[in-house]
Amino acid sequence: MKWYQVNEHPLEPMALYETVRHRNVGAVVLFIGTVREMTGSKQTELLEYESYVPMAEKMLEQIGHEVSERWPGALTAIHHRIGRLDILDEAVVIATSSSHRADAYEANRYAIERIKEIVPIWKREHWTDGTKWIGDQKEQLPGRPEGVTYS
Amino acid sequence: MIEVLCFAHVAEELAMRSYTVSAPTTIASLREGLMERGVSGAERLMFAVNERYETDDYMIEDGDTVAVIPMVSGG
Repeated sequence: MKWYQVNEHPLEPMALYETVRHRNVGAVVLFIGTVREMTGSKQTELLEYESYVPMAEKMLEQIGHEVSERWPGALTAIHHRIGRLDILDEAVVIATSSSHRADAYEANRYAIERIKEIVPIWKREHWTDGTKWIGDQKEQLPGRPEGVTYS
Repeated sequence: MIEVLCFAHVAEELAMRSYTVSAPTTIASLREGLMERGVSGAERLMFAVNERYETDDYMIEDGDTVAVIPMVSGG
């Protein structure tokens, strides 16, 4: 099982759960992002995800490193699905583990926020009344995203 | 030559997934080129060289792979 993966296959949340478990883990938080039908009065028919896969997987790995720097001992595994997804499908799974619950929760929230900042994955909404590539969910400025450092 | 990869709305507006430019050049110069071709939001695009984010003054060399990265929307 790869720890950081972007591809078109259906996601297996429990496989990520198994990946971040070990004998000294006392808490695993599993976040699953799913495809929602209604956003206000707008009705989604399907979502289409596209990615620059090799870089996206590197950036997911970087998020894993950032997590372990901020919460020592915490582990992160992230899989993101791309292609055409229907309502109710899982789009992303993030598993974080730690010896205690507080770190696992915080690390998991951190990881999803970072995905929305630095991982080259794009979502196109197919609404009942048209399509649109979604961007700028975090109103970033151009250039290198904040906090991206290279070792 | 430098290969430039395009994604999402950029690929759609240019009607191509990649193009090539002569080396050397800068990210600023690629950005200008995209503005001239009418790519929407070109002033806010990000760029990666060999899978690392770089800023406008970055010098791109022969053989580098550049990706034009619109604001991301994963999750």
